[in-house]
Amino acid sequence: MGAFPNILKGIIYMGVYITTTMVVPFLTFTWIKEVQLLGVSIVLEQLEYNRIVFWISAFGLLISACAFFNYSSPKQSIRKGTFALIQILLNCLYIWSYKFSGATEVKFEIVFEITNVGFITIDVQNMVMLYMGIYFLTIVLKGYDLVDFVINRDKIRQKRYKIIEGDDIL
Amino acid sequence: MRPSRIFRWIVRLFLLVFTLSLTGVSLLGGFSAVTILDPDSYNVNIPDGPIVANFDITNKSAMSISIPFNITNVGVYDLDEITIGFQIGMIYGNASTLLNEITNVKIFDKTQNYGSVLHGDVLKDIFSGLGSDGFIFANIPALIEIDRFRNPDLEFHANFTFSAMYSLRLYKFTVNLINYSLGVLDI
Repeated sequence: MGAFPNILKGIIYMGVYITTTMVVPFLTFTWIKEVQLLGVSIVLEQLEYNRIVFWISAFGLLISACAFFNYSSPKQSIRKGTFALIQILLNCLYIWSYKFSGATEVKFEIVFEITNVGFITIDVQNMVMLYMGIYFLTIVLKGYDLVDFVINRDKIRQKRYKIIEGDDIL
Repeated sequence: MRPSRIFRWIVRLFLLVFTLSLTGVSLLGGFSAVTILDPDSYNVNIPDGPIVANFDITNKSAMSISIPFNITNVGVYDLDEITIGFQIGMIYGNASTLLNEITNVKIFDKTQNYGSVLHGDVLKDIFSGLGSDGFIFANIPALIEIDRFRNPDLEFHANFTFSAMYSLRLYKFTVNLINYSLGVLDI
C-alpha cells in the first residue's frame, strides 16, 4: 500500500477511535447526568461529571493520536508493532481511568422536587476488570507481534519487496 | 502462512469472541435494567402494601415493623445477592439534658439478604423486625427521659437501602433513600 492510502487509513481509524473513546462516552455521561425515573430526577454530581469527562477526553485524545500512527504504518513493520503496543497500553490506562475518575462507581442523587431524598450507586468495577483482562491478552499479543516482526524482519521484507516487484512487472 | 501468524490469528479470534460476548452481556444488562425499572410496570415495589409498625417504647420487646415488598425480575439475567437494609431514627426532646435538647437516636438497624431471583421469577416477601431482632434497646430512651411537653413527643424517620448484583454479577447497584418520614407519636 502506498503512502497516501496508509495516511487515509490512519485518519479513518483515528476518526473511529475519537468516536468510540471520546464522543460516545461523552454523550453517554451527558445523557445520564440528569435522568427521570418514576417521575423523580436522578442527578449525577457536577464535580464527578467534570472529572470523568476530563480523564476520558485526555486518554481518548492520546489513543486516537496513537491509532493514526499505528494504522498509517506499513503492515508488519516495527513502527506499526511499536505504536500498536503503545496504543494498547494507553487503552489500559484509559480503561483504568474509568476507575480512578470515579466512573466505575457512579453515584446519582435522587432529587424529589428540590429535596435530595437519597442516592443510587452503580458499581461496574467487575466489568472493567474483565475488560482489563481482555486488554492484558491483547498486550501479550502485541508484544508477540513486535518480537515476531523483529525476529522475522528479513522474511517480512523479502516478501514485501517481492510483492512490490511483482506489482511493478505487472 | 507462517505458523506464528496462524497462532496469532487463533488468539485474535478468541479475543474477538470474548470481547463480543462481553459487549453483548453489557448491552443485554442495560436493556434489562430499563425493562425492570420501567415506571409503568411496578417490577420493584418496596413497600408493596402498608407498613405495619409498633413503636411502643414502653414495651420494647413487643416493638415491631413489617414491610411487604415485591421484586419481579423481568430482565434477561438473574438478580443476585439481593440485600435490603432498614434503619429507623427517632427524634425526641431529651429531658435528661438541661435544655431538653432535641436528640436523634438510631433505634432500629437490620440488613437482610434475600439471595437470588431468577430471571422471570417473583420475590414476594416481608422485611420484618421484632424486639431484639433489629431494634437497638440500648438506644431507646426511658419514658422519663422524653420531654412530653414537646409536640409531637416522638418523630420517626427511616433510611432504606436496596442493593443487588446483575448481569452475571458484573454490575452492582444500590439504592438509598434517606430521611423517609414514618410518622409521629404522642405518648
